[in-house]
Amino acid sequence: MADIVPYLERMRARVEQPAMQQTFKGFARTIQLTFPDLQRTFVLSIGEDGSALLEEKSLPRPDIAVTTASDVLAAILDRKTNPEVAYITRKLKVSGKMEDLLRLQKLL
Amino acid sequence: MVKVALIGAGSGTFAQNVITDILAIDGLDSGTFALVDLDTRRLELSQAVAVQVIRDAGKRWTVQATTDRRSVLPGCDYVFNMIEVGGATNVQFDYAIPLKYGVDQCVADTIGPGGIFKYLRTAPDWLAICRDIEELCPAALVINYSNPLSAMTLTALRATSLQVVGLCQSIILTAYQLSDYVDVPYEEMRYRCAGINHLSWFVTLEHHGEDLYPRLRRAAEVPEIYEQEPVRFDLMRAFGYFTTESSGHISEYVPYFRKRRDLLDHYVSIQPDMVSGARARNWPRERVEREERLRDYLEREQRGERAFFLDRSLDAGSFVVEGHALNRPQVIYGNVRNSGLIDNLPRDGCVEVACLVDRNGVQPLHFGALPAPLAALDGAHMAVHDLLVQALLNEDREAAVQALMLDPLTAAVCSLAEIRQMFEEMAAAEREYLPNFLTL
Repeated sequence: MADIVPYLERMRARVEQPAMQQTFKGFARTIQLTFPDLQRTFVLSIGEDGSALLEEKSLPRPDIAVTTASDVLAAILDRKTNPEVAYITRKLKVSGKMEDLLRLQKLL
Repeated sequence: MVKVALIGAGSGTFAQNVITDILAIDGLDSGTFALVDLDTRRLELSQAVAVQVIRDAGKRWTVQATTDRRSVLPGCDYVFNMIEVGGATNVQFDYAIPLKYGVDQCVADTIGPGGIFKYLRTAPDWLAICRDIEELCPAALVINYSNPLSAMTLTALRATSLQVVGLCQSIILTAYQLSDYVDVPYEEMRYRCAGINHLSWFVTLEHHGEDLYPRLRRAAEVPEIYEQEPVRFDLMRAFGYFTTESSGHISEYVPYFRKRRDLLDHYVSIQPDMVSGARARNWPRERVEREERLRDYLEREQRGERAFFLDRSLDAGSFVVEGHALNRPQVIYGNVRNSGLIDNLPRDGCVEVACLVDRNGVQPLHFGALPAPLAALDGAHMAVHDLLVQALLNEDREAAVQALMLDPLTAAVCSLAEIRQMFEEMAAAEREYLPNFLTL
């Protein structure tokens, strides 16, 4: 069980990095991250201008929904687990439009 | 020292995965990667990625990069093929011309008009590569990833004496999916699968002796599960077994789902990834984005960040190398010659079965007979593969036209005259990339 907030904060900060501005500008989406092991849910909201807001809450219909154990997301962000392998082996579950999911990869 | 050639190494993701996976093999600490691609810009990127990943892994591998494959093939133990010929230029023709005739494809790169023309563009170069391997490193184990996988692999099996296996992740990906649907740990699930690439079938699916199909049929009644794979679940309801390619792609293999607008609209409303022209629209952009991602990773590594993932993927390529080079027996699913492996599919066609890999190479395991309807669905495609390979090896244009006439979806939509006209239109549009015998 990982302290997931610093990892989520890293994701949020990555959206706002200058190198990512072009990628996420105009990509206004809500990304809901649910961690059943922590019984916590967060929403990362990306604005039209490429800004990002992280809040602990849940939405009825997020654009992208990610469900995983906190250890798995931490291992992905620490480069110890390939997200594609985590996805295939069902340790990382995502739903949303395929093109949105491909864009999401850039946050990882 | 092991030497591994990657032909078409500019395919950033494929090449990176193979290299990372091989570097993850415990005990295979040194060797040479020989990267070959005609596109020097993409080749340079792959080379930079390979060098960085080797550094990250702390192994003693070296990298060669060249546009001249003949200069690096001597001494190769393994040759991975991942070439693409004129894909970015022709993907729109592969999709848009058939659509004018009512053949509405989603992926269009392994079967149907798109897959057939992709073969006709790619296979001549592949055959030339195989000839070079035969001459310069005849004992090498050849691993083909290029699509259309079955016909490409069959070409090498028919035309050369090389040891060739075609690899695809569709079976293991599906197995993980099924373990989730039936709520059984993957590691505890037992299965037997066989057929042809993308149209193999889970003929046995068990957990501690329990047949999991009743549980899977119950899972298919749950809307959230059914909606993920409506075509595959409907095929399972009709024929009894789950197949190995996603709903969008598999809907092109059989004649039931894409031949009428109302059918297509119904299924796309359930599963949007089945939408018309998905690959033609997305793949060129995804290709660029993948390249951007690799460049981003390289920049992050240069800033001292760890960006590349070093863990091993589920792809079977590195397991073939490990089994053979280190004599550690592995079982993989491979596409190989049907030397009586599946009793009721055509002999000498290309089938997908379990294979044992050890120092003796890739040894396919006898499967037996598929249930008759499954064999009929697979056999229809094997006839297309057979005609395509005949067309190439005999420079027989009419065999290529007949291959298109036998494609199940095309045949469900078009008359013979329409199919011939479609063939001529595609051949004219793609003539720059086709062998002379096809461009009258």
